[in-house]
Amino acid sequence: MLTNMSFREKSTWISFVLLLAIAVPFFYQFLRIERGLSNSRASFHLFLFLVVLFVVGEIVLHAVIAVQSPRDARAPKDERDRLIELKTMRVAFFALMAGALLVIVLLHFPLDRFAILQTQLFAVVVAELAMLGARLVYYRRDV
Amino acid sequence: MGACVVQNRIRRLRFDHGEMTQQALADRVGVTRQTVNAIELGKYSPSLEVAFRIARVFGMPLEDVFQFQEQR
Repeated sequence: MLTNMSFREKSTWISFVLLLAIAVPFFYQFLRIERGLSNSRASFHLFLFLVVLFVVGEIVLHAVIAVQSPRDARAPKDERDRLIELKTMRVAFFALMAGALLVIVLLHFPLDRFAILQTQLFAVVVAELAMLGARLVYYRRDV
Repeated sequence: MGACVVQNRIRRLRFDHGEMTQQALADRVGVTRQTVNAIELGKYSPSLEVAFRIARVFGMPLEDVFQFQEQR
């Protein structure tokens, strides 16, 4: 199945898996802070580590798939790629809007700014994951 | 009005044109091999521009390559 994938589909898989891999420990750490099991300084260090891990992972893994199929990697996006991008941006928009509305609702509850900020960040990550996930579905199904 | 389906004879035409590969057709049309595969399988309806380019590769009129059918 891997050999049947285009460079862009592999690239989407890489971004989806990496983002999921860094989001889970990061938000788990946030829950630990909320329960008083950790502090925000440790969370900040974890955040920095995960961001570096994400960037390095993206660069290394994209370099690997580009070496495997250099011509495919150099090819510009075609009309199907662009259509998939447009459709999945719409998915991300609705996910982000839902997250923004959730944050507005949470502002009316007695929560600290850290929790509100984390919720906003969570909405951004969910929107990005929704976009990448929808892209993977469209690459395999009818557009 | 029923659902509309765009069918095509690309796979057959590739075979008739010296067993042209999907990659070779994709290169001549200016799309990826995966897009040619999606068009062949009916998973993606190409733009008019790409449809005309595909027909031109095979030296045939558009309607000999793509058929528009309305399902009732």
